[in-house]
Amino acid sequence: MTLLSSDVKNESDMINVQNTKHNLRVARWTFVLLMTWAIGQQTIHAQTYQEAPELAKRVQSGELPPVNQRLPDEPLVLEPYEEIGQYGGTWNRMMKGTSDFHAFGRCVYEQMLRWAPDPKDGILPGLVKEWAFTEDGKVLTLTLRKGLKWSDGHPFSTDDILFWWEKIAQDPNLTPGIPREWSPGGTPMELIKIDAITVQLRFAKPYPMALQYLAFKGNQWPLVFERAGFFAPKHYLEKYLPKGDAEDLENLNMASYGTFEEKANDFNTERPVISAWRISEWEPGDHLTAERNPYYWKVDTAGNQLPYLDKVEVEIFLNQEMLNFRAVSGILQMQLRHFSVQDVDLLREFAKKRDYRVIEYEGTSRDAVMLNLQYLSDSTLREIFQDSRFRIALSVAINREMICKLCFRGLIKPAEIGLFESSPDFVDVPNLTNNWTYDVDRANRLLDEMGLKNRDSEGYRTKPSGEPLSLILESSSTVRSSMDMLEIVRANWESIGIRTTLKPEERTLYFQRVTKNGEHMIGHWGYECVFPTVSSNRWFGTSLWDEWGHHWAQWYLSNGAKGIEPPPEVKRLQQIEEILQVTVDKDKRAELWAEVIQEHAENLWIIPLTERGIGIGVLANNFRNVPEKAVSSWIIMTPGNLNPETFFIKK
Amino acid sequence: MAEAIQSPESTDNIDDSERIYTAGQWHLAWRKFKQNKLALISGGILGIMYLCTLLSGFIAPYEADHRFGGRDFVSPQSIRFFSDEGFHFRPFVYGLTIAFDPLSGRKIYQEDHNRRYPIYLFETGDTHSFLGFNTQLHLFGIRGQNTEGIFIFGTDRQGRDLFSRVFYGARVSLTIGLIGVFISIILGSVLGVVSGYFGGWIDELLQRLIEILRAFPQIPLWMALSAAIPADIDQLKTYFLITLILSFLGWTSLARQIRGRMLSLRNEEFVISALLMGASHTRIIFRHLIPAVLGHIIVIGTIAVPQMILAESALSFLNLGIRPPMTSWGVLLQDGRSLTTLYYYQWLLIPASFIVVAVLCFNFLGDGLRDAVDPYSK
Amino acid sequence: MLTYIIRRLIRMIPTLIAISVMVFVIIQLPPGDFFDSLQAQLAESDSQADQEVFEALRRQYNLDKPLWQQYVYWITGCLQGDFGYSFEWRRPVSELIAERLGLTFLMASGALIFMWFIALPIGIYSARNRYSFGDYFWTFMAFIGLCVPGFIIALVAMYMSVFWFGGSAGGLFSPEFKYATWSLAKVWDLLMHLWVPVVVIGAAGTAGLMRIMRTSMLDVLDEQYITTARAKGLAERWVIYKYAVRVAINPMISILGLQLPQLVSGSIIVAIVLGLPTTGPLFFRALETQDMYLAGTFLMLLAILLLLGNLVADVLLAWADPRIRLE
Repeated sequence: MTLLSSDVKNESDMINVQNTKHNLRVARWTFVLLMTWAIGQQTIHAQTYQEAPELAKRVQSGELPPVNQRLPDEPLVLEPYEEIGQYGGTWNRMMKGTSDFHAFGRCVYEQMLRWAPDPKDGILPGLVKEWAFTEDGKVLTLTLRKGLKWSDGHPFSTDDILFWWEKIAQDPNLTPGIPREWSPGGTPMELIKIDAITVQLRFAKPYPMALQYLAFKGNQWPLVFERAGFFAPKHYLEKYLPKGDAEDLENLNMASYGTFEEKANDFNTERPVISAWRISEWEPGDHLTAERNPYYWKVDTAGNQLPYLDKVEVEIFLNQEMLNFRAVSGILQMQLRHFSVQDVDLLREFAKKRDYRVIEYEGTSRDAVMLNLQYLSDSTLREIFQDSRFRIALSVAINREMICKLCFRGLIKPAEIGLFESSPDFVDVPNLTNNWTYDVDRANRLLDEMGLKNRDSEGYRTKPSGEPLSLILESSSTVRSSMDMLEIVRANWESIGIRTTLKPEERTLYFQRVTKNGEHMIGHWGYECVFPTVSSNRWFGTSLWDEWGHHWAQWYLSNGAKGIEPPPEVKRLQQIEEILQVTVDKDKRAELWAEVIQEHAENLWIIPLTERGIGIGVLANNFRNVPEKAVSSWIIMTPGNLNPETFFIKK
Repeated sequence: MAEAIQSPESTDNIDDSERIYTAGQWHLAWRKFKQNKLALISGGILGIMYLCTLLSGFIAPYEADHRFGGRDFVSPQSIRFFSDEGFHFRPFVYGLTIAFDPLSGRKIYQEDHNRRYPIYLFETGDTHSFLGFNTQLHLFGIRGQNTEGIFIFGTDRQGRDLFSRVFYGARVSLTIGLIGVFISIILGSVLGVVSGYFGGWIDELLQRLIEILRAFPQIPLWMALSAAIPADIDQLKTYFLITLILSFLGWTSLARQIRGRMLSLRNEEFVISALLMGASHTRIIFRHLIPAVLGHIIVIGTIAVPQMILAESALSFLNLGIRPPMTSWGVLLQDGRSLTTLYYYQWLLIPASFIVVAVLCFNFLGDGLRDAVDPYSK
Repeated sequence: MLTYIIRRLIRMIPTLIAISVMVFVIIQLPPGDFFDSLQAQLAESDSQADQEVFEALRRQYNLDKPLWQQYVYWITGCLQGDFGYSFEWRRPVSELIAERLGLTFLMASGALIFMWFIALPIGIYSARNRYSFGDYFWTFMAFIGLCVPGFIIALVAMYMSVFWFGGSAGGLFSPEFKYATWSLAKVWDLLMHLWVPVVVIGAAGTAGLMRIMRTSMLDVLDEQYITTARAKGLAERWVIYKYAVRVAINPMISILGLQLPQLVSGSIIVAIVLGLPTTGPLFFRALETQDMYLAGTFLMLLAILLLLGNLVADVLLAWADPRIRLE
C-alpha cells in the first residue's frame, strides 16, 4: 500500500479517479481511500460470506469447500450500481454467428486491471490488487490478490502469467508475433517473477500506457479471447504443450499445436477460467451456456459471493430479425450488441407491453471520410487535395443534419472535431474554426477562390486545365445506414459541382488499398474519439491505416526510409503522439490534445461525418444494477466494465 | 407439317372456315392465340409494362435517388378530388405535417388540410435522360417546396419516392428476364440443334454436360455464383453477370427439348429430301429446322422469363443480386425483410405486386402461346 | 430392376466427380478466403489482428496450398466421410450439416405431404368439374401460388405469426423448449411452429402439382376404357378412384423423387427469411463468410440428392406403371 502511494505520480495519468491538479493531493486522497477500503475489507473478512443456494448445497454434500475457503483472502468488493441483489436466474443473450466471440467475451471481462464503469474514472484494480511504477516509468510491479483460485479450485499465481508470456506469447507457432503492446519500442518486455503474487514488468522505455493495456483485451487472437493473455491456466495447459524445439519447425508435429490450440481455446468447456461464469455447454451453431464459477473472487458490499445470476445463455442467430423478434418478445434481459438504429422504433413500441426499456449507450468513434493527401496517381488532384480550402469546401457541403435525420433516426449527432466528452482526455478547446457546419455558399465560394470555377457541359467543375475533376469515394461498409449516409455525401458533393462516384469495395481489398499501398482516393472509416491513446489510428498520421496520411505515416515508421516526407504540421502531430505515449501529467496532456484538435480543425485532414456507434440495447425492467447511461466500447469491454457479476433479476 | 405452305393466289375466294387449311403456320398461331382472351390481355399488360420501362424517367415524377429530407417513410398519399371546400376538378394531395407517436417516438405524418397541392400534367422536375437526350419533363407532378412531393406509393427510409423507384426498378427487373432468356435461347437452341441434328459423340458430350449441370440445384447454385460477384465492380457489369448466372442453367432444359424435336424432325421427309438435293448442313439447319422449332423456342422462352424475374428478385432480396444504387424490384423489397418494415411500413412491399403481375402475365401469355403454336390441338 | 439400379449408380460416378470439381471451383470463385472475411469482420468491430496470425491460420488449414491440392485434400476427405472443417463454426462440416439435416427433412417432408394432400383432391375436382366456377377459382389460385415469390409469402407469414399469433417466426421452438430434452410437449411445440414454413414452402409446389394432376386426369378421363367402364354402369366413384386416378397419378409419381431435393433447395430462401434452424440459412451464411467447405459440401449434398431423386423417380414410375419397362 505504501508502495502505491509513494509512486502515485506515475500511475495517476488518465487512470486516476480524480482530476486533481496536485499529485500530492491525489496521493493523500488515494491513501485515505485505500485505508478505508482496507478497513472495510477487514470487517468483511471477519464476517462469513454468503453464497448462492445452489453452491451451498454442493458444499453440504462435500463436493465443494466452504465459501470462505474458496474466496481469496481479500476478495474484490463491488458496490452494486443500484442495490444488493438476489441469487438465481438466467441471463439470455444472443450472438451473431460463431465468430462473434465478443458476445460472451464481454460478459466475462477479467483482466489484471479493469476499466471503471465510467471510463473517466480510469483504471481500477482487478486480479491485481496493487501496482507501482518506478520513478523512471520503466519498471512496473504488480501484486496479485492472495488466494485467487481458478474455477477448478487450483490456485492462481504469477506462474500462470509467466506461462502465458514464455510458452504462449513467445512461441511463434502459437502467437505469430509477440503482442505489440508488450514490446514498446520494438523490444519485448522482461517479465520477472518476484514471488507467487508479485511480478515485475521491465520495459525498454517509460511505458505508462502499460496500465491501459493491462485493462485492455484489445488485440485479440482472432478466434479466442483469453488466450491473448495476460495469463493462462498453467496447471491445465502444461500437459498439452507441444514437445520439442520450437525453432525446429520441420520436425515439430503441427498436430500437437492443434491440440494445444483446442485446449487453450476459450470455448473449451474443460478449461478452468477465472471469470464469473464458465462455459459449460458450447454447441457451435446453436448456443452457449455458461454456469457460475464457484471460486469467483468478487463479493458485494454485503459479503455475498458474486455473481448473482446462475447462468448466461447465449443463443446464436444468423438473421437479424431473430434478434429483434427475441427482443420485442421481452426475452433478452440485457443486450447491447447488434441492434440497428433502424429498429429502435419497433423496440420502443413493445417496451411497455413486454416490460423492458430501450437504452442508448454512447459510442466512442466518429465516422469520417478522408482524402488521400498523397494521392500518387494524379498530381493535379493531389495538389487540389492538399489545399485545405478544398477539404473545407467538401466538409461544409455535407448536410450532416440530414444524414442524422435520415440515416440514424436522429439518434446520432452531427460530427464535430474534438474528443468526445466521455473521453478521459477530453479537453474543451474554445474558438475552434468551424469547418463542418453546412454552408453550401461557403463551399462554392471556397472552390471558386481556388480556381475551380470552370464547369463542363453537365455543370460539373473541372480542373483548372479543363480536364474533368472526378472523385471516387471508396467504402467497404456493408451497414445499411452507412451506405445511405455515403449516398447523401455523394449527392451533397455533386450539388456543389464535384462529380463523385461511390465505390463499394470488398473489405479485404479496401484494407489492401489503404494499408498496404495507400492508393485509394477517398476512404471512409471511423476513428476512436474516447480512447485515442489505446487506438490512435487516424489522429496523428502515424499509422498505415490513416486514409489521409498513409505515405506520411510510412515515412515516419520507417524513419524516413520509405514513404513521403510530411509537412511540418504533420511532423509535429507525429511528435505529439510520441510525447503523449509517455506523458502522465493531466495538464500537460490537455495542452497537447488541445493543440492536436486545433490543428485538425484548421487543416481538416479528416472530414468528420457523424458521431457514430450509438449502442442501442434492451434492458428488462426487472434486470437490475445496469446503468441507464454509459459509454459502450470494445476497448473497455462494455458491459464487462459495468460489472455484469452484480446484475440480477429482481423477483 | 409445320413447314409453311405458300398460299395460292385464290385465297381471297375461300371462305373463312376453309382458310384454315391453307393458312401459314404463323397465321394459324395468331388465329388460335386471338381466341385466348386471358393471354391477349396479359400480352397487352406486358406490352404496357415494357413501354413503361422505356418511359420510366418520364412517368416517374422524381429521379430514383431524389431524397426528400425529413420525408422518410411517408405512407402512400391519397389523391383527392374533394377538400373541405368541396369538389375540385383538378386532383390534389394535401401537404404533410410531422407528429410523433407517443409510444415508439416514431415520426408520423398527418395531412394538413390547409395546404393543397394540385397535380399538374407534364410538369418540369428532375432531369432524366430519355432515349439519349436529357429532359425535365415528367408526366405529372405538383408545384411544392423542397420537402413537398407527391408520393403515390409513399417513400422509403431515405425519403425517396417509391412510385418513381418502382418504375426505375422495372427497367432492371423486366429486362433481366428477357436478356437472360435470350442468352439461354441462343445457347440452348444452337447446342440443342447441333446435338439433335448431328447426334453421335457431339450429342453424347453435350448430353453429359447437360446432365451434370442439371444435377445442380438451381437456387443454391445461383446463390453461390452470385455470392462470387465482387462487390466493387460497376453496376452494369453486375447486371450482366447476374443475367449470365440466371441463364447458366436455363439453357439446358431448352437444349434438351429442342434436341428432342430435332431427333424427330431429322428423319422427316423434307429434311431427307433437302439432304438428297445437296443442301448443306447450315442451310438445312437455318432454312428448315430452326423455322420448324421456332414456335417452340418462343413458347419455352416465354415460360422461362417469369422464372428469371422471380430469381432476380429473390437474389436481390438476399443482397446477392443487383446492388444499390441500381434498383430493381428485388432491391426495393430488401427493406421488407425487417420486422420494423412489416410492422410499420407495409407499403414498402408494393413492388411485390408488380412482380406478381408481371410473372402472372408471362405465365398466361406462355400458356396462350403454347396452345397457339400447336394449332391443331383442341 | 436391381441391375438397372446398380448400372445407374455406376453411371453416376463420373457425373459426381465432375460435379465435385465444379462445386469446388464455384466455392473458390469469390476473391479472398474465410480469413480475409474474418479479418474484415473483426475490423468492423474495430479490433485488429496481425497479418501473421492469419497467415499462420491459413497454413494450418492448407489454404496456402495450390487449388488443385486443396481439392485433392477435400475430395479424399469426402470419400472417407470427412467433408472438411467449417472455419466459422469451428466444427467438422459433417457434424454441422447432420445436426440441421433432420429438421430440414422434417420440414421438406411436411411440405411434401401438405402439397400432395391439398393438390390431389383439388386436381381431381378441377378435372371432373372442368370449366366450373370451382375449376376456374382453383386454377387461378394455382397461378397466384406460382407467381408470388416465396420470400413474400414468408414475409407475410412472419408478419402474421409475430404480430397476430404472438410469435412463432423465430425458429422452430419456443425459447422454453429450445434447450429442453425431447418430450411430448416439445414435439407439440415443434408442430405448432412447423406448420408456418410447411405451408409457405408448400404453397408454390402445390400450385404446380395441382395443375399436373388436373391435366393428367383430363387426359385419362378421355380414354376409352373410362368410357367403357362408365358404359358398363360402374359407379362413378369406382370409375374415378379405381381406374382414372390410378393412371392419372403416374406423372405425379414420376416427379415425386425429385420433389424432396427440390423442396430442400427451394426452402432455403424461406428458411432465411423465417430464421429457421435448417441447413438453408447455414449455407447462406457460409456463402457470406466464404466458409468454403461448408458451402461446398451443402451444394454437393444437394446435387447427390437430386441425382438420387432422379433414380428414385424412374424406379417409382416403373413400379407404379407396369407398362413402363426399364431399358
